[in-house]
Order: sequence, then structure tokens, then C-alpha cells
Amino acid sequence: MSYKTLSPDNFPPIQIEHVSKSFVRRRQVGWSRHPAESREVLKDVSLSVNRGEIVTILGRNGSGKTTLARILSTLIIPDTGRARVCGYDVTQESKEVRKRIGVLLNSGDTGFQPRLSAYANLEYYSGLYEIPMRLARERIRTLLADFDLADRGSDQYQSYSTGMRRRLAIAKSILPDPTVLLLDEPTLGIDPWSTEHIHNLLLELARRGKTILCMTNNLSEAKSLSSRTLVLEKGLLSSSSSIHEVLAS
Amino acid sequence: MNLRVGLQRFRLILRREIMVRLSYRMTLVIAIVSAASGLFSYAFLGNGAVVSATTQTYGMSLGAFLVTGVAFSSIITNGLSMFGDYANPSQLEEVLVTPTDLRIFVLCSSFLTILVSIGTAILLFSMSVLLLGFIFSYNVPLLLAMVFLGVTSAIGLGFVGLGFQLVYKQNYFLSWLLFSFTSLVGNMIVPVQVLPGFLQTVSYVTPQYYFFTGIRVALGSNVAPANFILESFALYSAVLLSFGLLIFQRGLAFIKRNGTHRWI
Repeated sequence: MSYKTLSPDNFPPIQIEHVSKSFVRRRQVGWSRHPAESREVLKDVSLSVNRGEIVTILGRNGSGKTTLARILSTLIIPDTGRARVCGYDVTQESKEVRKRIGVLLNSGDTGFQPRLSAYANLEYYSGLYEIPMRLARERIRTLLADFDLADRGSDQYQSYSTGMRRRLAIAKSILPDPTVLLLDEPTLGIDPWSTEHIHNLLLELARRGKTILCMTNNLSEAKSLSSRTLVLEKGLLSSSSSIHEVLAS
Repeated sequence: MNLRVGLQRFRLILRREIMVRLSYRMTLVIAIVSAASGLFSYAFLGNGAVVSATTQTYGMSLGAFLVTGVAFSSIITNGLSMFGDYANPSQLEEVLVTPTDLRIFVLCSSFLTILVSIGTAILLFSMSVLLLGFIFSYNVPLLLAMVFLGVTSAIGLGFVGLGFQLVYKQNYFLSWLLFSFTSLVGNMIVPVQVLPGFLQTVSYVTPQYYFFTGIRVALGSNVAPANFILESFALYSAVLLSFGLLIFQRGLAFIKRNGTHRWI
């Protein structure tokens, strides 16, 4: 049966089949540029994540976690293989994919305007996510409260601490009420108390049927969050296993 | 402080600067050519034939010619920067993961910039009439059409600039082309009629030529028929916009293939 004829509900929210990705890198030695060479970041990665499941991809820096997250969030295209979100191909049907995902990128800044308040920043993104204004306002108030930012919601973003910025960024990823949540190092720079609070919120989201794929290099995060942990090492994804099996290995 | 350590620090800082600048080799060439371009602009402007060229071709004095060039330049020269500012590294990825098309995003974000550029042109032109006492004859429909086509061209240029920025992480070359080189050949300051033949040919490739010529035709008296410049500029704007969208799509495909959304 063709993929197009099936309802998105019939698909695993995340489905990755034999995805590989290489990047060309330029080398600068002294004054001259050397010929470009290719570096394979992901090697034949396959993965399926079910509805309501939290899966953690655990790996060292440079193992390919962010590349995988960026492929699923339609930022980059795989060289080979296919990746689908809710049955939609991330390359061919990227707009449909974007309507169904919430993304937290691991890139330091998060596109927030420093001189605007947290509320105004989230309101701006609600426009980009095409959320009706009344619903957006309600969601923003709820999210600010959930992430313990309600009393600072009208403060300028530039006055926020690192942890508050990260919490606001996670709130932004949840703002569109996505079916699939892609989180790259979600609790980077956040204190242990807030981390626990965020983990509880994510577990609650999973209980409500959200599918969460979390990239981390933090073993305890993988332990407390996920029902399934996979290890990404030099672009190769291990077979699915529990965190206890990962720890044992 | 040890002199040797100080000299070493100086050498390393200087070396880094040179290496960074040499990695953008085009910038170096551009800096030299723009300096020469400025020199030639003023040299041609001092040519005695300029006054007769503006009077005979556009039916306006040299002063009125220069004033209209400066007053309306904001409309056509804002194209490149208005998109680049909104598609900066911190914004780009965040917008690209939302359902909003990046083209729509940059257009909406730049709407205020476009309005400000038109407002600036109106303000400067009004000042030249009310305060400086320049007299123009007005073909308002043509003037409005030229402003509309100027904005369309600026948007086309904006997409070209954005496409370049996505691939090369800078658009100095285009900025130079637009601001420096075309101030010589774009009919903005120097009338194309006084330029050597080959430079006149080059000017027909620039959107500024059509824009500023159209503005002068709309504001000057006893001049050439308006239809030709209107039709030429309409065709040029449509081609430039299509070309800009094509370059932008190529740029976007490039970063999606190479993952180079960030450059700072």
C-alpha cells in the first residue's frame, strides 16, 4: 500500500530507514586551503519510535546526534535512506513535518530577541507556528507557569540566566503542541532541580501521547527520562536497549 | 612586559587578521575596485558634458538630477541588507523548523524596512522641493509605478543577496556591486550619457539604471517617452525577482545539503 493512502496515525511518529550523511570539510593549513574531504557522520542509521515513547540517543560530542536531530527537523537532508515523521518524508514533505514537530536545537542561542520579553518572544513564535492568537496566549501563559517563568514572563530575555533561557527554549519547542518533540541536549546548563522538573514535564507529555526523541551525552538524563536508550558512536547506532543494558556495556 | 613576548603577540594577532581577510579574497579585490569606482564617479561628474546631458535627456538641472538620485536611492539600495539581517544564523534555523516558509518570513520581516525606505525617499524628495526649492514636473502614475518596480527589484536583489549569504556567508560582493560600482554606472549620480560606451552597456544590466532613469522621466520635463522605460523596467524586475528566487532556492538547498546554517 502506498504511503500517501495511509493516515499518518498508521505510522510510527518517527521512522528512520538506512539514513547516512556525510559532510564535506575544508582544511586550512597555514596560508593555503587544501582540497575538501568527506566525513561520514551517520552510517546506515535505522530507528522507529512509537507514539508516547521517549527514546534517548546517547553519544559523545561529535557522534552524530545533532545531525540526526537536524535531519528529522528538516534542516538538512540525508544522503541516502529515508526519514519520516508521522508518515511524512522529511525531504519531500518538509512543511507537513514541520507542522508536527517541536524542536529544541543545541546551538547556544535560540532565535529569541534579547530586548523583548519572554511572553512577546513566544507570541512571535506562535505566529511562525500558525497558532490562532487566543489559543497561543492561553498556551504561553500555561507554558510560562509550567516552566517556572510566570513571574518573569514580562522581563526582557536578555535579563534571563542561562538556565532560564534554556527553559524558555524548551517551552518554545512545546508551544505548537507537537506530535513529535525533538530535543537536542535539553537540560544543557540547567541546574539539577530544574532538570528534574523538566524531566517530569517531559514524562507527562509522553503520558499524554507525545513522542519524544532526546539527544544527550548525559547518562543520568537518559536514565531518568527514557524507556529506550540507543547509543550513537561514530555515526553508528546501536540496537535498541534499556539503559541498564547500556550501563552494563 | 617582555618585548619578545609582546612582538610575538602582535605577530600572531596580525597573522590571524591577514589569514581571515585572505580567506575572503574577493573582499580585497572589491575594496580596491570600489575606491577606483568612487574616483571615476567624481571624475565623470566634473565633466562639462554632464549639465547638458541632464538637461537634454531628462529635462532637469544637474542639481535636480543629483537630488532625485540621492532621495530615491533608499528604495533600490536596501534590497540586499533587508533580508540578510533577518536570516542571521540565530534566526535561520529557528525559522526553518517552523511551518513558515523562509521567503514569507523575510518578506514579512522586511515590510517595515521597505516602508521606511519609501518614507525616507518621500521625506528627502519633499525636503528638496520645499527647502531647497527644486522644481519638477510630475507624472504621478509613472512615479508610483517606478517606486513599485523599484521595491520589486529590491526584493529580487534581497533574494539574490540572501542566496549568496547562505552559500558564501557574506554578500560583500553584491553590496559592492550595488553600492559602489553602480553608483558609477547605475545612473544614480553620474548620467550614463557621459560614460564611455562600454560602461554605458554595463549600466543596462543594473536595476538602478532603469529605476533612476524612470524616476527622472517621471519628474523631468520634455523628455523621452515613458512607455519604453516602464516596460523595460517591468520586464527587468520580473526577471530579477525570478532570478533572486532561484538563487535563494539554490542557497537553501546548499545549506540543507552541507549543514552550514551557522557561520558565527
